[in-house]
Amino acid sequence: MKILIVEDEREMAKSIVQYLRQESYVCEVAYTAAEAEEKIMMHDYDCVLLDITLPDGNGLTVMEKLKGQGKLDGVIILSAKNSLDDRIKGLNLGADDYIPKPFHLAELGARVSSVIRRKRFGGNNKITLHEITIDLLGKSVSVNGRMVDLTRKEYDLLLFLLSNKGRVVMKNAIAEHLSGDDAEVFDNFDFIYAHMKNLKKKLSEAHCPDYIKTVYGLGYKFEL
Amino acid sequence: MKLLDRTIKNYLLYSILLVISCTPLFYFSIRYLFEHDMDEVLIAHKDDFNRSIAYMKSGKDIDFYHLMNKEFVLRPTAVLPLRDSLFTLDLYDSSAATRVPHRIFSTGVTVNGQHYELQIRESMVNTRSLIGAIMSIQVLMLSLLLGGLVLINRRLSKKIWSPFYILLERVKKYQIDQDKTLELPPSSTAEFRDLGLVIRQLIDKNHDAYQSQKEFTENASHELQTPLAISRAKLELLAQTKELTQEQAELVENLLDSIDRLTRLNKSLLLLSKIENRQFFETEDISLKAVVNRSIEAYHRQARERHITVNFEVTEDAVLRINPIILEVLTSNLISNAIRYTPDQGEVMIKQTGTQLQISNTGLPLQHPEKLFERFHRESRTILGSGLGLALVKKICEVSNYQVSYRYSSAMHHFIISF
Repeated sequence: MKILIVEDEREMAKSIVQYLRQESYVCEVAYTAAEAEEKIMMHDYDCVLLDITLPDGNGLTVMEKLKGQGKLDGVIILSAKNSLDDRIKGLNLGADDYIPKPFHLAELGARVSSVIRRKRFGGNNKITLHEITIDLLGKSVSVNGRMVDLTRKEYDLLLFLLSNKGRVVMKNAIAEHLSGDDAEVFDNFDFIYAHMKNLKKKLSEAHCPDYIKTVYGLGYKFEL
Repeated sequence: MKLLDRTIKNYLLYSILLVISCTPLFYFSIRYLFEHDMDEVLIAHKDDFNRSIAYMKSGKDIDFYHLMNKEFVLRPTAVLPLRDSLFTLDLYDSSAATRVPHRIFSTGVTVNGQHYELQIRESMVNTRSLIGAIMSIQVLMLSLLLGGLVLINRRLSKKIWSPFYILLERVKKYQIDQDKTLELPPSSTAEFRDLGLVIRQLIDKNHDAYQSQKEFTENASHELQTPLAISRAKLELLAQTKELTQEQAELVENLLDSIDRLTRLNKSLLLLSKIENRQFFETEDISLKAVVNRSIEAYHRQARERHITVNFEVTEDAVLRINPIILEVLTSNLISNAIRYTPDQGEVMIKQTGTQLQISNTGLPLQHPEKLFERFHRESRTILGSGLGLALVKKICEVSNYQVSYRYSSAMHHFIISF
């Protein structure tokens, strides 16, 4: 799975690469629009993470080139400009998703895997991990072929952890992911503990091994 | 007092003073001249009489003379009077059928050895009316002169000062956050041109200072975003390291919390300066009820966890023409604020009418309600807000021409927004 990261902040690009590599993605980085255009011409990527503000131009022009070539790459726009304008423009040009900066790496990980799944399998795929199967279209989870009745939040939580499997997902990232963009998170994570407890309980009742580890006070990790 | 009135007032005062003091002076001098002239004529008449004395042989002659010359009156007198005298007396005039002032010259004459007092009279009625006519013409002329002076002066001043007044009006209307620069009215007066230029320079300087201050906040928080994002990403990566100890995990957690707070603060600051810079100009017609419902939904969980009941009553939906982002910020800030500061088991009441949105929550009275909408004012340090929520609310109301007010009654805080 190849990912192109177009981001002029070297440290930021490095962090993204470091995080995504753990999911065995192959990452390449372009620091300028020109570099990005060149790379897009030469290779096919499964996903392009595109920063809007680049030193030699607007990321949206890269986007136009990409779509002009009829490439199937999934594009996620990363931008500090949290303006509606950029968002609409980007999505109109055919971007698959939009993440306003600053974002949690876990959130980025989840979005990347979602875009790749959609591109690769048309979105109607199933994720199978040992005894767990997730039906993305029906938003349902089964363990050893038996349906587990999860609430919407529990399902979102499981999918979020799975998308970042093998990595520690911070509870702040979970809180923001579950609350959506609208809500400012109060410094209170009780609701995460409650959802997590229920999720773990339902999975273990379905005879699923406990894959979700608590990492001190920091967050959780889905580990096979 | 206006500038124009002030100059005219001084002219007017001087002119009135002049008219008041000069009219009697003029009157008396004309009268004096006329009387003096008349007296000379009367004295000349005496010589006429003296020449006639030679022909007066008897009393009959005297009567005849008297008959022919009404203005001469002879009265016998024992002793020769006296010296010549001139005076004015009211006498009956048969032609006017009333008493009219006469100028009289009295002298002593001797006719045929008999002493007489001779009075030569002249009616002053014509003289008086002449003086009257002259005076009225004079007064009329003076008033015309005065009126004309005021009128011309006023019109001229208005014309000359008009660039000044236009400039004044434009400076009054100038708004630093909206207008770029001041447009100067054309003027042929050098001083006004200078004044205009000086004012424009001042305004331009102010505008630049204001602009750069506004831009500074925006640029600063914009620039802060990247290092904040990098710090957060690095900490998240640090958390991924294999041999993370509990101690290190706690440190990472604390750092992440602080960075999250900084990020939120920065986001609010950026939003605030963007609203101030009026970057949310695209407006749509939006149903307030739907937005309020969305905001309640967003904070529904926080309320439920702390057993806070949230009620929403709508008597009439309002359709507002506003930018959707800032309306959402407005409602969600007020609602999250209400939930955040309501004690557990408390109550949040939201009432909406066609023209008003009232958000009330239970709670203890504030210590500094007057500072409520100030930036970074916080009543309590135990609840970690950004200190910018209500400042944002106020700013949004300001740019959207809504009224926001706060009051405390029956153990509840009420925030009222009128559209």
